[in-house]
Amino acid sequence: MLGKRKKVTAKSRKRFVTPSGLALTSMLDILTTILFFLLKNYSTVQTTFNVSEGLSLPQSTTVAPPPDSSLHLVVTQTAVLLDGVELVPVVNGDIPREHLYRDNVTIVRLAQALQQHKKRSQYIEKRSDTHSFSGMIVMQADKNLEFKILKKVIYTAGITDFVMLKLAALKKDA
Amino acid sequence: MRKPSERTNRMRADDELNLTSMMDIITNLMFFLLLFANVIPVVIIDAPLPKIASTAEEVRMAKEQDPKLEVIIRIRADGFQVQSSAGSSRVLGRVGNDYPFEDLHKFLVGLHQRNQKEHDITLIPGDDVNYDTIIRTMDAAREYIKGDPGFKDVPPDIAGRPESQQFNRLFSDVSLGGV
Repeated sequence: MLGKRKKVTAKSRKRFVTPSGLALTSMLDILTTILFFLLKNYSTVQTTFNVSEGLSLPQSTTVAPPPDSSLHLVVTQTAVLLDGVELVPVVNGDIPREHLYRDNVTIVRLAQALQQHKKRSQYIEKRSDTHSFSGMIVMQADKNLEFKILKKVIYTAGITDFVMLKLAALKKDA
Repeated sequence: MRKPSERTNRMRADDELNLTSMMDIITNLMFFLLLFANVIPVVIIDAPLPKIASTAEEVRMAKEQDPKLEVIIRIRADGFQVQSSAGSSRVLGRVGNDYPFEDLHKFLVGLHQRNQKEHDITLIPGDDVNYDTIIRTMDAAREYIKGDPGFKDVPPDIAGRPESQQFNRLFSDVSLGGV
């Protein structure tokens, strides 16, 4: 004979049901926190500075941040680039003579490109209250390059009125 | 036998939110950001090119300015040659393959103690000097470091920030010469 069974009500059934799925809430919290951290870093880096590929920047102890917007002059072991556009090749750590003006210092194509940027900037300056030509240029150069090539690049920037030279470096840990 | 009632046997809606799809989105976003966010701490050194006075007024103003302490570092293949308008001059030769950055720093600290208002310095690198050496020379000349006479402690709330550079300025306003 069967014993007296306790009546199983809907309420008691509900009480003893264990959740079958994984508890993802805490994991989602962690991921969301990481996501916000990455988004914050991502936006900062993207709006301020991109280091060119194949470039080994020197390290510096300075803590000054990069400017928000400026013209980027990149000197790698293989080429000179202005705002991502390759202008002149670098051969054996120097600019080939055929790319230099008669003074053997001015880099012709770079000077022309900088003049265009200057004219464009001055054109906008005339039509805008907020924009002004500051002559600011950020130079990223490979740490192993010699001054003989850099001085040609800097001189060319100087004669085209880009005198506010800023040198990019990697932050050295103290 | 009693037939189960429709009320107890009906399908119940899940009480919890289904977070799986949201997890998928967030995980994908995370990997995308991790791949493309190149978190490289880039810093900037100001090295404005010397400006040539273009008008008579600018020439006159330059002449009327008080005589300044002018410090020039020539970076050569064999070491540094430091000259100053105060009369001090020093040649610091290379030790093996390394430039004597510490000796240079100490000498510059000594020079700066005599005229602490001046922060201008001109670097004239030789053609065969590499860019890394130029930047390290700028670093050696930029600020007082702990242990130097005249070093001031930076408040912890601004340490590592651009404002901190106003505290221990040595020869922080660099110009590149020889261009």
